[in-house]
Amino acid sequence: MHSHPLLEHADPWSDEFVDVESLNAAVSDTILRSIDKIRDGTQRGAVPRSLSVLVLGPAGAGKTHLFARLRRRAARRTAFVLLRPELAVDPSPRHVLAACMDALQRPVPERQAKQVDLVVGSALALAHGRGPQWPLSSLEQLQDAGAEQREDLIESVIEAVRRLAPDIEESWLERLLRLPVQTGADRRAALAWLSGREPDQGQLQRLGLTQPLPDASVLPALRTLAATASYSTPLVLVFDQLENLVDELAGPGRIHAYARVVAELFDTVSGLVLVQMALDAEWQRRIRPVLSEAERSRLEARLETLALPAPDQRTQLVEAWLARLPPEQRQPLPWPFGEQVWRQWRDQPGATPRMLLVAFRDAVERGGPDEAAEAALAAAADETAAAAERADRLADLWSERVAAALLVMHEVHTHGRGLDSAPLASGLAAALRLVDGVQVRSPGPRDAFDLRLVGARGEVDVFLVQGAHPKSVAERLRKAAEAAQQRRVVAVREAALAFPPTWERVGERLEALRAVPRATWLELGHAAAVDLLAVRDLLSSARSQDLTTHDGQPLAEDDVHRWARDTLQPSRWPVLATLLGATPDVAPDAPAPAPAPPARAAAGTATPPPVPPAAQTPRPTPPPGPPAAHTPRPTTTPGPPAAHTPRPTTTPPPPAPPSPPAAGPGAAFAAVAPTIAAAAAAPAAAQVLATLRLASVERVVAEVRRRDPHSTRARVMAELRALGRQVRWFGRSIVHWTGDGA
Amino acid sequence: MARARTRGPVTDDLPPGTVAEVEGRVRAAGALPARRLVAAKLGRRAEVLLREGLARRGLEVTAKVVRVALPEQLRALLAAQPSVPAAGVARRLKGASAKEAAGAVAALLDAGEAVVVARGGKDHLARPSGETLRRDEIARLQDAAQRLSKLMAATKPRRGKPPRTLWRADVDACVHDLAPPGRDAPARETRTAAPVANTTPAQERATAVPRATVAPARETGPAAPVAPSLSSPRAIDAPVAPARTAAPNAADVVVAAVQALQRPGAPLVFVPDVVRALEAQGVAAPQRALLAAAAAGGIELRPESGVGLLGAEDAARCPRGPTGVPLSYARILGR
Repeated sequence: MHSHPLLEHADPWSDEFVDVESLNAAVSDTILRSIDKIRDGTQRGAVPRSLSVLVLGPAGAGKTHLFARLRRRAARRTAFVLLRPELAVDPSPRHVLAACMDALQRPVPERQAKQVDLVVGSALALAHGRGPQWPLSSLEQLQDAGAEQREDLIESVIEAVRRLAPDIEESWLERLLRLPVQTGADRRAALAWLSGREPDQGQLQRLGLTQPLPDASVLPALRTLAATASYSTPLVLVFDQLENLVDELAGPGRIHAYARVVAELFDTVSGLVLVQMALDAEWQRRIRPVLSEAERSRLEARLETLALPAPDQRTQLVEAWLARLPPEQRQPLPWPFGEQVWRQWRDQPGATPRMLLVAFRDAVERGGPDEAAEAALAAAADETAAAAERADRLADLWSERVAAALLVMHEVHTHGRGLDSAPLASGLAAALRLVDGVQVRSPGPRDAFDLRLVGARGEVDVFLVQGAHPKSVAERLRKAAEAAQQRRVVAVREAALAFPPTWERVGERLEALRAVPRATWLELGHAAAVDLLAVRDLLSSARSQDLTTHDGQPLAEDDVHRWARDTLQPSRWPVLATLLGATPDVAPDAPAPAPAPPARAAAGTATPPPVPPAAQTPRPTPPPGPPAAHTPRPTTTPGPPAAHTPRPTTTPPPPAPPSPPAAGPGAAFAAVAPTIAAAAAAPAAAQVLATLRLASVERVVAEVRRRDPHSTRARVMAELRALGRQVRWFGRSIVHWTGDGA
Repeated sequence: MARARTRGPVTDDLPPGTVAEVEGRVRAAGALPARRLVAAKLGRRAEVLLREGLARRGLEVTAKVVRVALPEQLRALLAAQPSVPAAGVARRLKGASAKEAAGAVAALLDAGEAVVVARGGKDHLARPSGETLRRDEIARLQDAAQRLSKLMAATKPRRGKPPRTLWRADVDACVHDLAPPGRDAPARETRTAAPVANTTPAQERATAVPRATVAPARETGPAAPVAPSLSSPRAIDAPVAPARTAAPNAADVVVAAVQALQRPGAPLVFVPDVVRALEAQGVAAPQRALLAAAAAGGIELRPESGVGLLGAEDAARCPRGPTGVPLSYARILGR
C-alpha cells in the first residue's frame, strides 16, 4: 500500500490524477465561466466585481479533486490560491495576501514558469495592448530588456493598471512587477515584503524601506494584485476545509471573522473569483445558522452542490483507475471486484468517489475478486480487529503528515525565514486540545498574546516571537514581560531563528523577560515544530473527515483525538509540558527529560546558541556541559513521542542503546544507530534511515557523511533507491523507513 | 369546417337534431365561434332558434362564441386539479376573455365554491377542502408562528453570551399548534390508515405536497392513485433496482416529501426529517422507499459528513450506504 499509485487523497497541486469530466461538470463549468467573466470584463475596460461560489459536498465527494481539475483546465490562464483556515487564528486580509504570494510561487503545469510570471505577464500584455492569451511572451520582453528600457516598461504597466483600477497601491505593484527578474536575496526580500510578512533588517535595507507593509496597505495590495491579474490570469481564491472554522468552545467568532474577510474581498476587491468549499452538513447546521443575512448574501451568492457519481460515472472512474495499473496486472471489469460486489458498488446510493477508490485499491491489493473472502472479511471485522486496523491506519496518516510538515519546514527555511505565527499558534492549539483539562483561547482584537491557556494551574499567556526585525521582536518581548506581571507567560521562538549578537536591545529585553518570575523563554526545536505542524494538519483533516479507514469510511474526530492522545502523548511533549508549567512525565522507554527549572533561574544567564536542527533530531540526549539551570531547553530534550516514530502501533521501538551516548554533534545518533539490528549489516543510508524513520534526503546524506566523511550524495541516493520497498518516498526529498522486506 | 355563409342556400328552418349536435361539439371543445356552429348558411330565424336552443341547454351564448358556462368550466378545472395557478385561469377557460374569467372567478369565490390559496409565493385557486385552511385555522397558525418566531429569536447568538438552545417541549407545543385542527393530536392516532400520516409541520408539509405533486398522475388516467402509499405492496416490497420503473409510488412519495422539506437556498434535506414525515409506515418502509427513489434517479442520498452532528435517533432513521455509512442528506436530482 505504501507505494501504491492510487492514493485516496488527491493532492490539490498534483498534475497527475484521474478525472471523469462529466462528474460535477456543472460545478467546474460554473467556476470556469466565472473566471472567463472576470477576464472578459477586464478586457472590455473595467475590472468586474468579484464573484463568489460556495461548493458543498460530503467528505470524499471531490472538493480537493475539483481544485486539481480547475488547475488542469485553466492553470495556464488563471492563478490559483488555496487557503485553509487555521485552528486558533482568525482569518485576516494579511493572511490572504501571504497565501496569495506563496501560491504565486508555485509552478504552472507544463510550463517553465511560476504563477507570478503569468500575473506579471498579464499586466504587461494589458499595458501593450497585446492579446491576453500570451502573458509569458509579454514577460519575456521584460526579462530581455535593458535596465533603462525595463524601467520604462514598468512605468507603462503601472500607468495601464492605474487606468484600469485607480485605487491600486503603486509601490506594491512596482515591486511585484520586478519579481520575475529578481533572484536570490533580492527576490526573497521582495517576497517577504509583498506577502505582508516582516522582512528582516537586511532585507529592508535591500528594499530601501524602513518598515513592513502596513495594515492600511494590505487590502489595497490585494486590490492591486487582483486588478493586475484580471486582464489575462484572473486570481481564484479557494477557501477549503471551512468546517475548521467551527469552534464549539470559542463560539462563532472565527466564522464571523472569516465571513468579514470574504465579504470585504467581495465588496472592495474587484476581479477575484472566490470559491469556498465545505462539508455540506457542517455548513448547513453549524456555519450557515450563525451567519447574518448580509454575510449569507455574499458567502452564498452562488451555491453549488457536489454530486455523487451516478452508476455510469462509477464505471468510468474504475475503468480509469484500471488503466493506471501495470498492463500485466490489469483485467477488465468487474475485476478487481467480484460480479456481485461490483454491482453493489456501482448501484448502491451514497458512494463517494473516495469510498469507491479505497474499495478498488483494497481489492487490487487483495489480488482480485474473492467474494467469499470479502464476505468473511466483513463478518470477521470485530471491534478489536477494527480498533487495531484503525490505529494502524492512523499511524500511517500521522507519518504522512509528518512528512508534509518536514516539507513545509524545508521550504520555509529555504526562504530564509521562520514559520509564520499563525500555523505555529494553530499547532500549539491543536496539540493542547489533546490535553485534558486545558482550554485554549484565541486573542481578541486588543489582546497582545497569541494563545491563552486556561487550566487547573491557572492561566498562561503564550507569546509567539517569530519576528524577523529587532524592533518588532523587542516590542513583543516587552509586551510579554508586561503580561508576565499579571500571569504566567511563555514566550516562544523557533530555535533556528537565533538572535544575532548585534540585536542588543533584543538581548536586553530578553534578559528583562527572564527576570520576571512568571515568564519562561522557550526555544522551539525543529522536531518539535514539525510535530506541531503535523498535529495541526492531522486534527484539521479529522474535522474535515479527510482521514479515512482502509475501507474508505471517515475516521471519527473523536477516534483521531483518542489515538493522538494515547499514542502521540502530546502532554509529554516538552514544549507542552513547559507551557503547562509541569515537568513532563518520563516515559518508561525514554531518557529522562531535562527538568524545567524555575524561570527565575534564567535571570542573567545567556542562552547558549541553538543547536542546529540536524543535530537535534531525533531527540538527542542533552549535551554535557552546564546543566539546564537557566531555561527549559525542550529543543534538546528527548521525549516521546518523536515525529520520527510514525508507526507506534505497528513498529516496535528499537532496543535500548547498549552504552551511554557520547557527547558532541551527532553523538545521540551515533549512540542509537548501532542498536538498529535490522539495518546492522545494511548500507549506511539504510542504517541512518532505520534510526530516523522519517527524514529529508538532505538529513540522511548529512548523517551518513558524519559517519563516513568520504561518502557522497550520489552514493547515498543510490543506496536509498536500492532499498526498494523498505523506503517510502514522499516526493523526491522525504524518505520514510518502512522496513518492508528487511 | 367551412364558413357557413359560403356553403349552400340560406335556410330559415332549423333541421331537427341540430341543437343537440351543436351542443355536443361545444361541450367537447369547451367553446366554438358563433359563426362556425353549422356548415349550412342559416337564415336569421334559424340562427335565433339555434342560439335559443343552445342557451336552454345551459350553454353561454355571446355575440362571438358559444361556450360551456364559465362557472361550470371553473368547477371542472378545480375538480381535475387540487389547485390551479390563479394567473393561468383565464387561459384555461375556453371562449372567455380575461375580464369574463375574472368575473367568473369572483362569482365562485363569493359563492364559497372556491378559495384563493397562497402556494410557493403565488396565488392558486382551489376548492375548499381538508387540504386548505379555514380562517380560524389561519389565525391559530399565525399565533403559533409568532410564538415559534419568538422562541427562535431567543436562540440568536449574542456577543459575550453562551449559545442557547430551546426546550423541546416548548417547541413541540408550538409545532403541535401549527398542525391544523382535525389533523393534530387525535389524528395522530386515528390516521394510521392514511397513506402518509404526520405529526409535525415538516410531516404536514411532506404529506400535503405528495398529493399535489402526484396530481399529474391522476390527470393521466383514472387508475392513478389519489394519494400514493408507502404501504402499497408495489411500493414497499419492490426490490431496490436502478431502473426508473421500480417502485414508482414509493419513489414519488419520498421525492415529493424531499421537495416539500427543501428550503430556499438550502438544496439538501435532512433525511431523518423525511423519514419522520413518513413515519406512519414505520421507519423501514420510508428507508426502503428512499433507497428506491435514489436508485430510480429521483433523489441523491448523501453520506453524513458532520462531526458529531448526527444523534443516535436520527442515525437510526437514515438508510445505510456503502460500508454502512448513514445517508443523512437527500437532494432532488435533475438527471
